[in-house]
Amino acid sequence: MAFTQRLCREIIKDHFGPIVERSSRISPSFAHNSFLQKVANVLLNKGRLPCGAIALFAKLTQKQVRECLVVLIQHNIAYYAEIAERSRIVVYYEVSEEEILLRIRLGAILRYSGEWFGKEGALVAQHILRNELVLFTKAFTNMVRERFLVAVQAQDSISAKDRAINAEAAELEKLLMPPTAKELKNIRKLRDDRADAEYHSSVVIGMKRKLAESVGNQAKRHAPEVLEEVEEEFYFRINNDRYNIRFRNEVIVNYAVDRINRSAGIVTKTMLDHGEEKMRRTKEDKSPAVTAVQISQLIPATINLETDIVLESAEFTANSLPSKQQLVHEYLELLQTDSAGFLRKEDERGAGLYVVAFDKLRDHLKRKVLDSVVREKYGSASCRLMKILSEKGKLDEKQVRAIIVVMVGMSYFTTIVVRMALATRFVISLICVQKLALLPAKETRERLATLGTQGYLELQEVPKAADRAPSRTFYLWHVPLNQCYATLLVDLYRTLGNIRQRKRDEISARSRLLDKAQRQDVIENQALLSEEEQEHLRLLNETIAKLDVGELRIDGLITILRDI
Amino acid sequence: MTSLEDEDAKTKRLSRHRQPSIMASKSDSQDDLDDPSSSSARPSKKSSLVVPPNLSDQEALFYKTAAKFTLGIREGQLESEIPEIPVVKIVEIINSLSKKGFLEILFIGNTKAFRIVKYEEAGKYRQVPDAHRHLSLSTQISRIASMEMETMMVYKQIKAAGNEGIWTKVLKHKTNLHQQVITRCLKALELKQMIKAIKNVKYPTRKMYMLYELSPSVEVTGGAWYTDQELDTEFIENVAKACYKFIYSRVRISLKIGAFDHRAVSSISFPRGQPDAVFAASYSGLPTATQIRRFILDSKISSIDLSLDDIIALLDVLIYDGKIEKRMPVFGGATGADPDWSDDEAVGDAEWRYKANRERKAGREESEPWTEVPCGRCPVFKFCTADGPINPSSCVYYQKWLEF
Repeated sequence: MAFTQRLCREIIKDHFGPIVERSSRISPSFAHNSFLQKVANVLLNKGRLPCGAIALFAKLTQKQVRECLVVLIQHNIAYYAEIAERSRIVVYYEVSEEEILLRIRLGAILRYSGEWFGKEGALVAQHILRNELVLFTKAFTNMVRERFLVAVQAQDSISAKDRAINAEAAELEKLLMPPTAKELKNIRKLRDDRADAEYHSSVVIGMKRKLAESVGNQAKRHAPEVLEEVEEEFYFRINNDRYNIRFRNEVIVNYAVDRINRSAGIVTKTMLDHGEEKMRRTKEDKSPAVTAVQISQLIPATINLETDIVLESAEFTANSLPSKQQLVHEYLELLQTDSAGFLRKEDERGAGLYVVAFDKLRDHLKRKVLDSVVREKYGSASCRLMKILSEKGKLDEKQVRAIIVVMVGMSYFTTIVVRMALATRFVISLICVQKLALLPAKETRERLATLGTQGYLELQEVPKAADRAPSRTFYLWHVPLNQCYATLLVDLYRTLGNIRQRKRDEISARSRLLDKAQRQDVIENQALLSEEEQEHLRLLNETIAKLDVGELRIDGLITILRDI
Repeated sequence: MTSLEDEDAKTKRLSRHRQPSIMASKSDSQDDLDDPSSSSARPSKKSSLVVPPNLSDQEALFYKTAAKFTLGIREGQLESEIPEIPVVKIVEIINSLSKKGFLEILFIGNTKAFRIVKYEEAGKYRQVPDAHRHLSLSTQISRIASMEMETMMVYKQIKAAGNEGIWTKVLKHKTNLHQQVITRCLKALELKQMIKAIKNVKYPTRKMYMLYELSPSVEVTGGAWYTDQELDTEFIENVAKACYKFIYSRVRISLKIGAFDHRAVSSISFPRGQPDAVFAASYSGLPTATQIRRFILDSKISSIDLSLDDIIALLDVLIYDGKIEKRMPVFGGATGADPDWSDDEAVGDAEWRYKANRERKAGREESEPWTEVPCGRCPVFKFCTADGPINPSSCVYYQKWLEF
């Protein structure tokens, strides 16, 4: 996309560029970094290209281009596709912007690998990202088993779309005649189902089972244990999806804690952890189901849930405290009735089967982000107006009826047009908004206009007469939610690009100082730097810290808007 | 009825040219069959029919005949019903009666019909201003009758507008009179204290008029939230804050506004004691709109009486601000703020309960990540590019932010 191009270019410059070698640890030890940048730029600009064309645009030799492509493919940023064109097979290469954008999170990934899998985990992740040799430690095995690391097969370097096309072509060859529309649909459906099943399979690719040596007595009592070990021939890479799932779960748990209380957060966390095995993608609609009993068993005994909730005292006397199961049940009820829609009851068997409703939560979280952005930038009154516009349009039929009544005098055709316009969108007029918001008319008009120019609101014109005279048309406001999110996302990408550019500039402005500080003798003896230089260094570190923090927090917003 | 009024005006204008000699007919009222003084005692078809005084006997006869028809006597029926009076004379009678205000001219389909106005109601119909009530009924009626045609038309239009008042432009359109004529009539009526000018809160620049003794409708003044034609934001804020505090935890406010008394024993949205605690889902102590209203009225925060609708509107504003939520206490725990829950199924507005959302406590600040960075608040964000005149590398806002 055009609006992510700049950001992608910045990221590649940062991760694979010339300056990065010194200050970041995530860069391949690759001699000609700037070539890689050129190749990536060309591919970002022009889309899919064969090797020769890339060389032409980047003004490099084909050999250099190929080396760059290898690196890019290794890092999972580039894909290739073999297309048969008449008599020969041409290989096209392309760059995946999503993958590049996901690289922003590498810092978080490293940190959380350390948290979840110990220090070893962090090292493992680091090594893998650098494409260096990895030792098969315990942490590594764990990570593979839980799918944080995923085996790479040869076909993974072909983009998903191409794989789908190839599969379809293979099926089509089997048919003797050209397919009918129905057959084609069936084939496509089968192919998609197969891909889904593979993705969702419970078998972890890359692990093999091995019998443990039975030790003495134990062999008589238990069956020989089966150990799972990592196969040594496979290559592995970081599985971004899995990390995203964890991040998303955390976002949900934090939201539950914010909205209700700490114990509700604990209950939610247990629910999500329990179902985590079966979660593959963040786009799913609901988590695996769980009952109250299971949750109460899973919560560690040390955590005290009672103090945070006040129950109806009819069931319990003063002496007996409510059991953990009952408490959990109460919390589940609370979570279910909360308007954010955390949980949903799937079944009434037993005490009820609960699932976390991701689809509802998704909408809610996105709305929350939008509302807080509007509130911070344009004031709480504007936020109020937006909320009114997006909710009231649907319920306020009286107003719609009033407008239609006025239109009786108009031509038949116009009434039809208006009826359609009003039915398909949630529209509302200025006067109604002003009455509902209890704001002065002038102020509402100004605020609505500001929001409109920024792209958060849209105006629907409904003419009263055949000529579109402004004095004789209705103007109705409404909120195009998806467009709002898209606008916000574009702005966020832009901001990220700005931050990165600024960071690079700050660093390059002090490059000489940095050079000096990275010298071997200076690292050993800090006193070689003068006071002033040390001060500058400190300032630089602070600056970079601020910019980094800003970047990561904005990335959090992007997660909610795009990845959840 | 507007078309009828129009026709009324047209007819009046036409009749002006015919110059009835009304006064002449008054003098020969020697047939005492319908003696006005005894007519009230005489039994007639409508026992309560009172023939107005000062009518000639022919007029009185016409009046009584027309009284038989609830929808008025039609043009075609004139000859059949009142054969005694020739048609020409009838025309004169109609003119004079309608001038005095005892006859209405309506349009039914294509034909005209003439309906009487009852004598007792003639006064009411006129909505005689209080200032004039001390005058005798006859004086009142004569006063009105002495108005010119145009003034009468203008007055009728303003009366028809009732509570809402009428705009000068609309008045001009409806009466088809010239602007100057209307201005003259309005001035005359205002002098006589029969109409007054009011300011509309929706369209402050319009000149609206309504009858003197009527009070403007809610639409025009804006209702409870408007003071002096202006939206009283401070007042709204105060009441809203009080509502929120009440919903959050029941607080009794002493009569001195701003001084808070001891807190009551039971809290509403969150249990006291524990800072982090919540109520179970089946908790039923959340307040309804009526309870909130009673609290507001008791605490006398607002000097004017706020109706239930007003309070509900205020609570809606708080919901849009995200401070409180609506809930329906339905068994099974369905949420009230669910948009799929159509209004038809709601039991009634008084049944909705309101729950406060948790306040952000210090330390758990809700700051927006994007606006923390200068780009989020930059006025030239859209203009900034990588290498243009405004770019991130030389951005002043970043400089200030990084130095902070």
